[in-house]
Amino acid sequence: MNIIKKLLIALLINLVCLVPVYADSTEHDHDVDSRSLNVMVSKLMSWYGSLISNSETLGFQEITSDWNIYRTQYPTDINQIQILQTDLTLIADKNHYQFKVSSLIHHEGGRKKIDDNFVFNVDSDGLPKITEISFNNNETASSSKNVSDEIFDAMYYKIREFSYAWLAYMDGVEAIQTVINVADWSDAPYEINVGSTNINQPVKETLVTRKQFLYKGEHNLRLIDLVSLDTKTNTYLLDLTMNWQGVNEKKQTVIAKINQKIELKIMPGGRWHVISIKEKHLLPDLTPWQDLLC
Amino acid sequence: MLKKILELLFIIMIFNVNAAMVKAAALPILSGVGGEFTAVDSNGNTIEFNSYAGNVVVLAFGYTSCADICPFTLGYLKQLYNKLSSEEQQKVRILFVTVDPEYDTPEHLKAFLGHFNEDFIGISGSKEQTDYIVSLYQAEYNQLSAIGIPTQNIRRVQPKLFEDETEAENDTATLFSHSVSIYLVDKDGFTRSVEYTGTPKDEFSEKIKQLINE
Repeated sequence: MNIIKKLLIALLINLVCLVPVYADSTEHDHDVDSRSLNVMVSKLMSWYGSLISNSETLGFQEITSDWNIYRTQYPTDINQIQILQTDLTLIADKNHYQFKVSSLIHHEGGRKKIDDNFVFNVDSDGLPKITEISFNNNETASSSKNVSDEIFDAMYYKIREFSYAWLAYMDGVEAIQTVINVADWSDAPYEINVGSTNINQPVKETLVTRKQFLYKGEHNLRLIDLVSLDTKTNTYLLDLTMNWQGVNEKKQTVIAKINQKIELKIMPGGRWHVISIKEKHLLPDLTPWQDLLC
Repeated sequence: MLKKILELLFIIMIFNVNAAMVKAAALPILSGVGGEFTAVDSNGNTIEFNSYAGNVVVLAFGYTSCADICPFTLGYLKQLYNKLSSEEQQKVRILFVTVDPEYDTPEHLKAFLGHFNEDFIGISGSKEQTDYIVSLYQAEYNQLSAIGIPTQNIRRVQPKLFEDETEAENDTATLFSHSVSIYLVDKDGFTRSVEYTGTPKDEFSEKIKQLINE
């Protein structure tokens, strides 16, 4: 009787302790989650950017006819779209995701709060396809509580469309390269400083060398900033800070906080052309006291 | 017979739990924190950081004229080191990197660290070398005083003895503020954890043992 009690206790402890380990061990599923997340967000950026008036010149990635039927639900004279809140949840099975987005639409007639609900189906390549959009746009925003000083125009979405697609590409989603036109600038210099190691090669080669340190994992965007360098040539400096978690070539767990400074210009038709990339690995945000000086 | 089988099952289950918990507590590599450098140790020898490869390294920044956190940190590291068996201690190197290489000669560092543990290694060199080490670990330091302060006015672990008042007045040092982090580096030179003196010593020593046993 005594040993059966012990066994039951051991079984219970096993069940409790093995749950997080199991959760960590589903590497493949995790990859799909990450790839899909950056691709999904890039698509949403395209969607919101393309809803803004006069955004045609910026050439957002193509929106399929499945999506276009929902356009009539939005005002036609949108100046800005301010995303207030997002929530991503996995639904039904591992291939369906629900992206809830609350946004404040600024249009000629005033402001309107809209709650969109996108349902994505993820295909075998990890690429998401929209299967449904539903929304509640009955609420006219009268309060200025959520209004920000930042400009949420088409350019705001254009650079985020690029940024999330670039993260997805670095995560290994080859199919997204058509959005960022990697082939056009794969010979641009891409320099990385990881501790005492310096890599300075063309983009296509640096991405291969980089895999020694960051072999397989997820890039999660934390900060984004765009500064105009030259208005005549449409040249910008894009400053991205992202977290990364995954494994190196030796399958050791690695975490990183990565800053990239990307000099790029926007070409006719809205195609981005990267001029150079400089990447530095920062001290990951681990503890509240890590920046403390005494 | 059944009792023996059940007891065996019990042992296997407990072993499973231990294995699971070890995996759950695995220390990730912190990409871009630390790396290779050249410096001078407290014996005056030029060293490459990779000469410590194969050992677990615990690295902290400070300087010998520091009146508060450095003695406290080294006292903490002394107690931490004492939690390891002599066999484990042979596989660990405690490095104290000065942020004041101008004043902290290898001799100064050796005398200062000897007060805590003679196994501790002081790391000095040129200002460029120590600045580079600081940048590798993404640490920080700032000079607090523009001019040197007579060391007789600084509370010290080992008060200095002078021949006369002139010598005492001429022995000056600068005060600095600096990062308080303690870096845990694995046998391959990868930083695996960033701790401080608030980390329970048992917890820290377990991490060191984990890296020794990898």
